[in-house]
Amino acid sequence: MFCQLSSTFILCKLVQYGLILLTPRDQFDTSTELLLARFVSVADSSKFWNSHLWNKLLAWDSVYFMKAMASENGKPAFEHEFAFSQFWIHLVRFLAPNHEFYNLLKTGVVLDNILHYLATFILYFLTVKIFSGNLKSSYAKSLAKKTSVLFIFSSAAGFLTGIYSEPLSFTLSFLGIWARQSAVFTTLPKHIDCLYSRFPLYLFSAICFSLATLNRSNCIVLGIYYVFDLWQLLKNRNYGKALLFPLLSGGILFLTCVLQQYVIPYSIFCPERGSWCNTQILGPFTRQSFYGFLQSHYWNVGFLKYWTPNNIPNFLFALPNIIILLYSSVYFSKIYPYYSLRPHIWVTTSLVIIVLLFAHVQIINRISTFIPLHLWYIADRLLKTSNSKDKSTPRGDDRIAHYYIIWLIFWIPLQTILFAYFLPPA
Amino acid sequence: NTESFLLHVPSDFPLRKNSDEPSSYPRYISLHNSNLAKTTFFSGIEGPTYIELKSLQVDETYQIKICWTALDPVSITDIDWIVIPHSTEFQNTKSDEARIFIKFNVVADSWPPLNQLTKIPINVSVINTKLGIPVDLYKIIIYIGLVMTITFWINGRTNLYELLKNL
Repeated sequence: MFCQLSSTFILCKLVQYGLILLTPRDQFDTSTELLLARFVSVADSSKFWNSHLWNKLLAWDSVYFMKAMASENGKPAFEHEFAFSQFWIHLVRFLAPNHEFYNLLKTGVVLDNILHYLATFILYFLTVKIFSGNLKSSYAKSLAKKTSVLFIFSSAAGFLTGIYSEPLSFTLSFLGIWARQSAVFTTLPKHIDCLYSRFPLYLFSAICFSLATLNRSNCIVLGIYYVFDLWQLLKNRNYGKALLFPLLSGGILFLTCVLQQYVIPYSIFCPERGSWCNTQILGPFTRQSFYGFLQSHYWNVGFLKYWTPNNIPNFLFALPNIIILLYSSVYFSKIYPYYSLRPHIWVTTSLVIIVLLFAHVQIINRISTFIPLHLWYIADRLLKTSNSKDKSTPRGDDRIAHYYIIWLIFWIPLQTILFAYFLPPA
Repeated sequence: NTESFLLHVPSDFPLRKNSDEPSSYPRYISLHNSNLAKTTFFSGIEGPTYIELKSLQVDETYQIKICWTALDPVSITDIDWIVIPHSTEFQNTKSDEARIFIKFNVVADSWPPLNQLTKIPINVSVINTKLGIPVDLYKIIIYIGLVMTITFWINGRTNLYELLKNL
């Protein structure tokens, strides 16, 4: 398993970085040279590897990450730059040998690839743990291998070759899901229970989820695991465990968000900032959260704001993942009802609804990488059809899985080139 | 960040043939003997920016592409192009031939606010289009086409779906 996944990972990255190397250097958006002019000399940025590889990894959000990483103190210069993970920025600054532009860029890229590699194996063991309870372990291991390979060939594609913050979030997310799954078990018919002996693991999941949410706010939906556990334990009148496990962990996650979204920004900007500071309710609490304000004011994010004719191409970019995420929720609810997956279904469905109605929808291709349900769905269908003797064209779920994989086969090289050439989608 | 629009020079536009004289206007881009040109201008944030386009060809369509880095918290608005008739004074400059200008506003939106005297580096590119496609995009279109064809061929020969199924 280890060699197979490692060689698959290396092959995927070699293909992607090979495509980036061969991508023409004069990008569609010519602003990368303006970014480079701010931080490095022309002689430096024109060196072979810089101009043929590293400069092509600076598209879209990379600019914000590099600006903060290469700044004097690692802090954002403007309010809207707080929308980009301070946790990831300071982690790269901490690990980089020095704060020279290309050293920071290379450290970030190497770290992203290490995190993607680690998360591949965390996902493997998470899958084995979750599905071993319900299946023969050999089946669970086959399922886990396919899941991890699908995770390597992620629809985030080119974004995982640069310095985006998604890898840090999906690594922490899978680690947290694994830790929670280690402390929770399903009791028949449809109940769950927790082991006091495993309380540290459950608490560790809260730390992972909180750090993941600090890094990327969409990870807040991971809190739904605690809502599910709380509901279950209260239903069983297990009040002690309800308090000690989900309520405490959920409280930690909630507190992290309150600090990040209200207390810290208020202490930095208010009251002289005015604007969102003036919507103060009590103490640092404002009617609109800091992140909510940034997204709506600077990126025009809001309920149905993205639903305009000129964004139809972005909805088409997002369509495959919207379909596969929703179908996986239906599949594990109706066709393969495995109670242990119930909270995963809630998390997945919530993410799709939030992104569909509020966000720039095409980002679902990269931000859906922190949840595994759709990968389990495809892997399970692949496993079921690989065992069957019926070689006719796939139908129903198998057809969906088949089309999604075909889409991935063409999307990954295409999106990698579009990213390297600084072409949409962002 | 990028904003772009297409500019078609009418066939009856009174353009002098291919002159390479520098413009009397301080900011200009010349397409003399070339079908694409790019220049970096430093634009203020308190008023519109005008840039003269020289050595265009009549009956040709050009993509005007304005790029700026997200390092600077600005957006580019009110993008347009105007024609100044011959012998007409425009911002203390005059020419005996008709002139084409593009115009845009650099709008700052940040907290803390940008200093009003800040000059923002803006890349302005003028690219001839052929068959409605800017000529600088041809090579990436060919490259993508090539990669997609190779991907199709590899998938045809190895059937990656089956490979994954039987992993």
